[in-house]
Amino acid sequence: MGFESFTVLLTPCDESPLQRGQDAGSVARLAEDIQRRWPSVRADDLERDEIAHHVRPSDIFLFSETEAGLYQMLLQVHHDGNASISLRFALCNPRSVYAPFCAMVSWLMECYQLRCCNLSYVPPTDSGEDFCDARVVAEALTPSMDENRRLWQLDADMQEEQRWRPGEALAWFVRTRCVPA
Amino acid sequence: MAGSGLSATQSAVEAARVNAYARDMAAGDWTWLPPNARSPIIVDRAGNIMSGHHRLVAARLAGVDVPEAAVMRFPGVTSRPSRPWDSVAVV
Repeated sequence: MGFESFTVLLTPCDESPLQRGQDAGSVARLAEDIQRRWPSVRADDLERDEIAHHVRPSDIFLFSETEAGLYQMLLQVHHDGNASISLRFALCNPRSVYAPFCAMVSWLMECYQLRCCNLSYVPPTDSGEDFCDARVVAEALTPSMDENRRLWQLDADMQEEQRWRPGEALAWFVRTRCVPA
Repeated sequence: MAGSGLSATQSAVEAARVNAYARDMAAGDWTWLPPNARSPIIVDRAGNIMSGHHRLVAARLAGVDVPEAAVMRFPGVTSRPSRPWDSVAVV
């Protein structure tokens, strides 16, 4: 997660079935549920290989790529037994990625009783607090997605839209815009 | 991170991720420069962190130094406002 992507973290509310006592099998079943409901979602082996040095065996990487854009998901189970799902998309994606991204976030929040926290830069007009109401996802996130996208375009000096993974956007930025420290 | 001279630009960091990274760093089980690394820490000319908040916070927590080779410099200044570290939420 960095300036190249928009990221939200979904964590269990009090009544969530993903709270405590989760294990590798739980997140594997969760991944199956997601893929059953959303046929565009597939295993993201490219991402897993890319960051293999930081991956835990139970981590599950998924992605969805359609004409609208590409977003990624990471399903994890933590030491406290809680599971979490982070979702992100590279800010160079077309704005059309917002709809499938928000639809997925809403569905996950509703099905698994999760709260949503925006981990990206949050404009001062937003509260920056997490929320549990799945019905307001698009309304709550769109201003921040727009603002983060605008900032990426300024920093990268890039107006062009690409359905890249965050890692691909970052690699492009490093290759074309950065120098060794 | 206060005192490091680097400023945050992100609103939040994940506690679980920071703690996992810090554990690995403290145990010496951390690769700063994997062979296929495409994600260095990126800092702008003014010392604003553009990418790598979790790794930098974890390194501070673990008491390990970040090798200079793991950092790339953006010669400009990011459009993202810097923010005080105590305003970065830990979620």
